[in-house]
Amino acid sequence: MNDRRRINGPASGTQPVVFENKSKALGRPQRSRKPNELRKIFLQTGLVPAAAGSAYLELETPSSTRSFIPTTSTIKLSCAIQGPKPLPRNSSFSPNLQLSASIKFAPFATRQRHGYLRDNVERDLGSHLENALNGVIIPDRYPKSALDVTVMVLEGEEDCLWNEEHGQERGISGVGLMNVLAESINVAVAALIDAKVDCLDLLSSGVAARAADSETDLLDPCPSEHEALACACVVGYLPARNEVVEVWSKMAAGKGREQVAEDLVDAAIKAARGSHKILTEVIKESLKHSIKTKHSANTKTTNDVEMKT
Amino acid sequence: MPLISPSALLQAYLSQDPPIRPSNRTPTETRPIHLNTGSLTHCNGSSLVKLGESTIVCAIRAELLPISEIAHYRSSESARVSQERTEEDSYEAVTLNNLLVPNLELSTNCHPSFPANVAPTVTGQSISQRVLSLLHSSRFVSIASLEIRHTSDPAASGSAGLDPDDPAYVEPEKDVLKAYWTLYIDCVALSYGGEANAFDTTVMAVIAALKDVRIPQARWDEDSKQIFCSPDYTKARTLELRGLPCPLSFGVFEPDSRIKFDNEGAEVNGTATPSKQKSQGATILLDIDYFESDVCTEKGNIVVDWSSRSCRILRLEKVGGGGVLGLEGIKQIVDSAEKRCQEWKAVLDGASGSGG
Repeated sequence: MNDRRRINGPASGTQPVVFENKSKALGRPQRSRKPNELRKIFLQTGLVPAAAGSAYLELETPSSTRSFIPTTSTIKLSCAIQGPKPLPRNSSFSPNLQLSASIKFAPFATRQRHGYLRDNVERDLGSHLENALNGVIIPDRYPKSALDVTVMVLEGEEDCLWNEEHGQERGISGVGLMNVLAESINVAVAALIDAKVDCLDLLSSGVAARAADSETDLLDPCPSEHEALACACVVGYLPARNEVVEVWSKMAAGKGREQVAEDLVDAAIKAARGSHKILTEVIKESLKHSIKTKHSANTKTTNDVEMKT
Repeated sequence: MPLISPSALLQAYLSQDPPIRPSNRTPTETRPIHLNTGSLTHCNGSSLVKLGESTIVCAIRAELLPISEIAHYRSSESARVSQERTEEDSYEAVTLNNLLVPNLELSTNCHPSFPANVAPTVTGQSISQRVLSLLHSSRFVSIASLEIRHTSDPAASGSAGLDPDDPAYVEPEKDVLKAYWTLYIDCVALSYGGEANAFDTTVMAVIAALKDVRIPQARWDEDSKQIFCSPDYTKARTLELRGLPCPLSFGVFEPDSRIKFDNEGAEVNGTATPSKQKSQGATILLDIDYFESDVCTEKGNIVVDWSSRSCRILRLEKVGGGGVLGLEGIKQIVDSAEKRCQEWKAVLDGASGSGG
């Protein structure tokens, strides 16, 4: 597709690299964590000076050497909040805040190069994120205002190993995207608190899944660690009010689905509680930091200038 | 309530003795460069550069362009032996086939002035185009690194002992070009600090990422007529890069002559010393930030290339008229750019030493 506003590659298009000697590839990584243990999260707020609020989230990197066919990848997200800003003058009055949330994948975020144009995956994830954030922001505090939440995915998680591109026949697909959505919700909430937007509670999100032929619920599943996942679920949860604002689940066919669905949602809520602990720690730290800098700015000698007006 | 315009504020700062900028720097002081390479998984090379208020992530993905896909390709060019071809002839292939594809994404998350989910703005398109033009004019990536050549093995093709007149004879290929590597250089801005600063940061990120690139070993398979690559990381090679471009942004601030500041000069022999003439003239500011780029009438970027023997100018651009900046000023800027080269080289060497 010829995008007139960007610099394009060769006119005939290019082909991605095909690797040979697949048998020499590294084996599948094994899950070394306990079933109820989450991966370590690195989360920091206030990295974009021009935005009202911003946050950066990174999932723990497995210490592996660089490779052309990496077995796992991490999730790296950056979120920035613009607003609350006034709506355009000619728009009709609305007593509530107009929220627009979007998720953008960078071209280098996925195994196959992702183009710059917005596609259905981004729209879908964006609407899930908007759904979740609408459940936690108090809208009537900001009449006739708009809030823009943008999450930029610098590195996403893939659903399967590089040599399994035909997909897993047995289980479900798309668990990598569920992980991206869960972490997007977490980073967006951290940025919202950094922007000091009024919220009902500290929304946090978690993912739970079950491997095929297994009864244990796995929290924070990494898709490449398992041969096939039978079902997975991501929830957005408000811990203090014990409310769920967003649920997205995928299940392969099977008996006793209602019970499995309930158990899975409970497991995802446990995962969300784990993320909640980390979010509270991060927010406390960022508040302490902002109070310290404000205090030091008042006491240290500032370089004032004499102005003749 | 008195109104303070931005240019009056900057003029007040620069009229101090010694002149100082609102960011607490001297007019010729540049900011430190923070560089991190090789942290992204799904690409061949990556870098993150933070300079002042701009943070740019750059990642390079290498894909294949087979010769068979190129329209109007004349195979006689490649048939000529390497020594006969000059570098200029062969470099033409890079520009004709768009083998280097840089793009900068400036979207609403980096600055509120950019709308969300729309096509790139003029600023974004301009910076991408300038980076492309810089890569082509400096020939930073040599064409030889982007070629995949093939020499056929006569024993493998079964023509070893055959006569040239025999119908089963296949002409052996020697050093024939089979495909090009295309490098998609995608940059994403996480925060934005003015166009001049963003251009500087993007150039640095692209150069650091190109140095970080590892291309897999590729071979042409006769039977399937396809290129296969080896996933063995130890056989990967780096790109052949030429020189080391180093950018520096500058701005010229011309004070409003209508605003006069009282001189702080001491009284000598009962008469006040004349006001410092320098502070009333134009000041050259190096490495400008967002506030200064709004206020300065003339601003621009210089890119110099530093080799062991000399420093030459690769690119010099300036916007805004006024005719204040003359040759003396340009020379001052070039000298400062030379010093910046040393700093930039040290940062690059430091990152590549510790990075993966």
